[in-house]
Amino acid sequence: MATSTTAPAGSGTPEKSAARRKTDVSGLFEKWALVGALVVLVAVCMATIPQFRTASLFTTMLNAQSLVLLLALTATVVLRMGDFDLSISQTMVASAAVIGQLTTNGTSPAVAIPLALALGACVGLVNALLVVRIGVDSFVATLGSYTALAGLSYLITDSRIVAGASDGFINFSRSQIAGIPLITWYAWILVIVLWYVYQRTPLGRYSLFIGGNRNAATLAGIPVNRIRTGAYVVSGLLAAFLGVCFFGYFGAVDPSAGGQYMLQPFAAAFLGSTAITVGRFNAWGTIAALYLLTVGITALQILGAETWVTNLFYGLALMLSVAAAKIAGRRRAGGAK
Amino acid sequence: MSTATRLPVEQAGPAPALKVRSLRKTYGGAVALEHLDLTVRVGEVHALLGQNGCGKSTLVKSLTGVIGPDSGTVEVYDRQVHLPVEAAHEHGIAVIHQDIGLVDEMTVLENLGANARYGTRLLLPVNTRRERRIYTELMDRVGFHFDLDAKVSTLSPSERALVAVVRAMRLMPDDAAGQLFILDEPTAALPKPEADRLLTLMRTVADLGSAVIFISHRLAEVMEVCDRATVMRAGRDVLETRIEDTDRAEIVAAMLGRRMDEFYPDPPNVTPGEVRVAVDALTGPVVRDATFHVAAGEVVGFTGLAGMGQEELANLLGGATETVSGTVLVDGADLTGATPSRIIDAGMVLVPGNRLRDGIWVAGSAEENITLPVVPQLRKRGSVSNSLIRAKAEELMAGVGVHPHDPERPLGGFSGGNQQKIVFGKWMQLDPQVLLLDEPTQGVDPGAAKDLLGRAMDAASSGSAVLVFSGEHEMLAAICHRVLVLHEGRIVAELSGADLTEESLLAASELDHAAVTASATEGAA
Ligand SMILES: Nc1ncnc2c1ncn2[C@@H]1O[C@H](COP(=O)(O)OP(=O)(O)OP(=O)(O)O)[C@@H](O)[C@H]1O
Ligand SMILES: [Mg+2]
Repeated sequence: MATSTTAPAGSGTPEKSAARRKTDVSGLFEKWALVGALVVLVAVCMATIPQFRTASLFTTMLNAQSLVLLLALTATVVLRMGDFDLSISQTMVASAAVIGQLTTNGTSPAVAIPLALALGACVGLVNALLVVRIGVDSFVATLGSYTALAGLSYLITDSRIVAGASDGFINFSRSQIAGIPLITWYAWILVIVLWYVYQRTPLGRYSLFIGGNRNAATLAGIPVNRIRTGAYVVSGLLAAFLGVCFFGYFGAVDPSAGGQYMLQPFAAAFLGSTAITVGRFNAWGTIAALYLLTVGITALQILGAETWVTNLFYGLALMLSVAAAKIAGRRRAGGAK
Repeated sequence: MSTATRLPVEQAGPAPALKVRSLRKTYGGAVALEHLDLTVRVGEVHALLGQNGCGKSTLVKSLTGVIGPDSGTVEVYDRQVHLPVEAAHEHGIAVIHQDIGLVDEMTVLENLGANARYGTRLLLPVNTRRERRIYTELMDRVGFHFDLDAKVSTLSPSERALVAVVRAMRLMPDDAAGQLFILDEPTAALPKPEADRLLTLMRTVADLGSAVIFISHRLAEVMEVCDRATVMRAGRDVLETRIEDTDRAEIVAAMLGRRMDEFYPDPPNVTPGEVRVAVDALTGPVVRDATFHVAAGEVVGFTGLAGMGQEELANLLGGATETVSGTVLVDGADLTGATPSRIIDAGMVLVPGNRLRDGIWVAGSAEENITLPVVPQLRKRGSVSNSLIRAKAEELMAGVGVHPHDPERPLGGFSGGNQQKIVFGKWMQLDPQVLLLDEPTQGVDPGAAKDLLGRAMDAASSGSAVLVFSGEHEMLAAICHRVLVLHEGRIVAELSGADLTEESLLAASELDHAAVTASATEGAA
């Protein structure tokens, strides 16, 4: 009566494991579809468009998209927790504005940079206060801080473009190692750091747990609110660091620049979540997604398309791939609705 | 009855594993814990009992730091614990919460490690191979295996409960004494054999010099495994006793504040009418070739070990999963592979077992949840009327005895058992011709369970067909006219009349033919 001694009631019936093998194959396809598309696209472009056979085009592409890539990676930090931080692009511009305004007026970068980073941390804390403490919807709260920071950038720069970055700043972003500018290297390093944290550490799994079911995370003893607050602060700090890169990259700050960096990073991050570790925001997926978009857009521009093609391409690619991932996911779930 | 008389005895022995004094917790104005004293000794399995909403989970959450109590003191192994509790595991407290706390879209392995920081530091790499080994060993000990890479969303309620058990076991090293292990209704979703395995495990842990707090509404298992019990009522402790010195009737009387003689209603004494549900060779996820008929006025049970198909059969009939082959006729209408909305229109209603996934909208209010199926009818001049909704909700909530009677409270603010009552009331209002009940009394206290089942029996006596899918053999034996036993998705036995007992159901579930041959051969209706 007490304990049964029958064989363990295994859930691994033969039918089930066969089904799993099948999903493994389609899972593999899903995982690598985006990367495959990138490889095919590059191959086709190289075969049909002469410019694609020059190394300089590739460096230009890498260079031009590094800021968006850095922002997209930054966006995943908070996205993984099931929240948004829309303010990153504007934090970047505001931080660049602080640095530009101060250093062009003679303040030492050793003062200006920590100040900019402090601004980023403050933005993160305010976002966290609103979202984590008070419970405001993250989309709304960070849309608010985005807008406020846009105003602040104009205030700091007196609504003018601040030019005249010192060589130090320019070199910080544009010096080359192995023919590749530093700013691209920063993005690649960030990919590896985030990959490690997301994929290999408890923190990376906690973030998914929190994004998946906050209540469950609390019950499992995860310090949910501390981790969410930390994510906003890291997001703000990274964005402020990007301000330094931004100032060096352009050699100037245009206070109106935030808008054009607002949505592309999110498009890349969402697109990236349909690859590599499917269904989760991840670093490798994001970089693959961004390069796919870049190559596509560059090819179209070489073929004579105008600048509007960028947004059109981003939007369509996002809609298509997210829809495809959804359909594949539904098929994978099989009988269950 | 009184703790006072026992205190000297207590002081003579070793320090208690847990000593809670005057604990108080209010939610807004509502008092969840009023003045609670609880003493749990080393080496014992201590039952914490009480009606739905009496504050058991609130106590657990206070001890593990999920919520902060308003006042009171807590001592763990003679050490005063600062309130609110932080890092409960450092005090040797491990817990399985009632809501289990798994994330659907993550794998079993990723869910398992979450309470143990995956065996490493926050920013150090996770050793996946070691994680796998640890959990494979733990699963060997519980005697149940699941695919560590499967997503939790694909598991049945009982499998999810077992994942939670394995997860908590990691924090409970079997060689170490001095732990306090808390299980808040871990067996609610488990069929009897799996539950028994867990009970044996609890016993072992206690015998090795730890203490276990066990919360359950299944008094039979409490009487079987526990040493002592504390009964709570409305946020206070009203009885503390050794199990040997008491019986179920006394415990239930303390819980409810009144005596209750029968724990279950009797099945309606009507001659079965015409066939309402005719299922022929039905096959779908797990279920293979199920053939049976249920007539008007009949109460038919379906049981089996975890994962043997009874839960899946309920989902299949309710239209939650896709039919592969076979037919389902309800009152002659072909419902094979129909959508849930068509099935409901045809008068067949599923009260789902996985409450948190399929049954409720946690953030929605009680009235929004309970009136969901009838909202289109609650209109005045075309638009949905709040006053009609309120009136309907109040009527339904009173009907199933939801406590507190607060239609505006979000569902998450109700105790587990009261959430289950709301789910039940939500579907019973449709006056279903065929009622599919998947673990209907999961987490419901004995008083409320009798009420809920009584309502199902009333439906049967007025001509509905009632199908009950459950692993609670005692309940099935009491309320069903006959019970079909599933094994690996197939119906392998049918028990009825004098052969239908708790023991024969267990034997049949475990395919112990010697014990059931006498009764296993009757034909279907
Ligand atoms: N988050 C909350 N907000 C408001 N009230 C709550 C909340 N959680 C619980 N309560 C109330 O506190 C009381 C105690 O609830 P608790 O969950 O501890 O009951 P329980 O004894 O575990 O019941 P069950 O056996 O049904 O699980 C109930 O009246 C419940 O409605
Ligand atoms: Mg409870």
